[in-house]
Amino acid sequence: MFIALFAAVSFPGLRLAGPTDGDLVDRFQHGDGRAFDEIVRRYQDKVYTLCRRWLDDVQGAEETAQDVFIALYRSLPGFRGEAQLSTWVFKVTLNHCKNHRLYRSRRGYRRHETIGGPPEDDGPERQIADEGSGTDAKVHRSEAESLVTHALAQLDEEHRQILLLRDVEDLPYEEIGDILDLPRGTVKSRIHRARAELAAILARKIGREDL
Amino acid sequence: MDTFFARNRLSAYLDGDLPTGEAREVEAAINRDPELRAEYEQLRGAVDFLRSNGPIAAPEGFANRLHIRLAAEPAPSRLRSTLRRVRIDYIGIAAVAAMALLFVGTRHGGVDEPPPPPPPTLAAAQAPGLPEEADAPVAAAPSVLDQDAGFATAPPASHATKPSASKNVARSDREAYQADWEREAPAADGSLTTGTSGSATQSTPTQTLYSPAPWRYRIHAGGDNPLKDLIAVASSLGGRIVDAKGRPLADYPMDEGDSQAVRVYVPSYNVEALQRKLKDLGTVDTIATDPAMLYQNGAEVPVSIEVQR
Repeated sequence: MFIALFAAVSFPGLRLAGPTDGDLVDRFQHGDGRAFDEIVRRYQDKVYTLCRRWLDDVQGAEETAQDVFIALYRSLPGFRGEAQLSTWVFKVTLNHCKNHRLYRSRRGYRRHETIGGPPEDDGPERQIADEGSGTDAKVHRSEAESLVTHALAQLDEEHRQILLLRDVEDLPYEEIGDILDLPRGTVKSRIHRARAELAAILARKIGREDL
Repeated sequence: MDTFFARNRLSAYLDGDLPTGEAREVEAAINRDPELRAEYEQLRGAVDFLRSNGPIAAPEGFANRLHIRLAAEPAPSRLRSTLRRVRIDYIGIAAVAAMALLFVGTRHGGVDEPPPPPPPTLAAAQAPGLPEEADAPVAAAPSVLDQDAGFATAPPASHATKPSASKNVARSDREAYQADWEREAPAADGSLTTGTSGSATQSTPTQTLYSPAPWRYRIHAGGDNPLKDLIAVASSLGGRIVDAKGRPLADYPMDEGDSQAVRVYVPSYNVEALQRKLKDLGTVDTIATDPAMLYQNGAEVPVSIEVQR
């Protein structure tokens, strides 16, 4: 433990945080199945989040997320490391989400609206319970998640995907550019516009003072 | 820095992505202009809200359920993946070589020359991909799709070459060739072949130009007019559908026991959507797939489908 700490302080470049994605891919390509388990562990929340936020459908999100990992499993032997694994994973996830959504919309799938009908856009719609402990915290979390979902659903596809990659998946501009095939400047300006739009939507829904 | 420029840099400022000098100027503008400050606070609030409420953990048991699905997958192999790529390259080269031979033959036309050497046979072209075929879960009696010889990789172009090629073969060969060509001609209703499986894929000289598609399915269709449904599916996915001669498929009501081979060309990112939609049409057998083809920037991917009713 002490040695590890000493090494980390003395040699910041030294890797102590486990294998890199590249290492895992290499091990998997050489027949180590556990490496794929580690890749799943590493990416399952990220992939699931993206699917869930994109599709707003628990079952569809899990199915799509699993499809992504199956595609990864099939293709990983031929993965040549020309891009980062994460870039590839997010790219495939977005493609799967778009396809799933398209498929769903063409089959006439509609989410059930609340009994009161779709939410009005004018004026603050609801107040979020104060964050606290126990049940209040759960209510807050659930309300907030629902608000995020509704707000994201109102964004157009371009803005939604770039916000998810930047502010939910916490990816740097460069990687977002690689995933979406956009130059860095376009990524920056699009993020700015998407955030401004999101802020306006949230302000309408919960009021400026609550943001 | 005026308010306009500062406003355009609020997001980058929030991300700490501005050079020090610019960041200071934006900060000064925010402190100077209450409206800009309010805008900044709203933007920051939205980003914080999204960051703290956006991520969702995968549901419990996600990895276990994934493992169950993966258990049904054949063991991944770099060799297989490489062979798939090699096979595709090989087929492309073989097709180009065959076309070049036909072209040269046409330029030297006019005299009864011995027939040009036959282009690589389908079996030869398939050789590098054999391990994939061995993995195919369905290895039933020979059918249209198992041979998959009636499909053109580039349908209209390859068909256009056939009549001119026939000028250069010996008379007897030409007659035989012509007979084969006519035998493949569509019925009056535009359909190619109905009837029992396998009848559409007799080995003919023309078929050696074709290659198997990387994605092949067999549907045991449930509806009354599966071809019509399939045309609608292809169209909904931005694809096109052709019959075994490479012509746009004309649908016709299939009788019980009929079989029809078609090829659907869809953008690569829609191959999986196509697979899902096929399941709506009936029971689907996957005969061979090549996932490596799936993410090639939307390139058109041929998917062979044998429809059985």
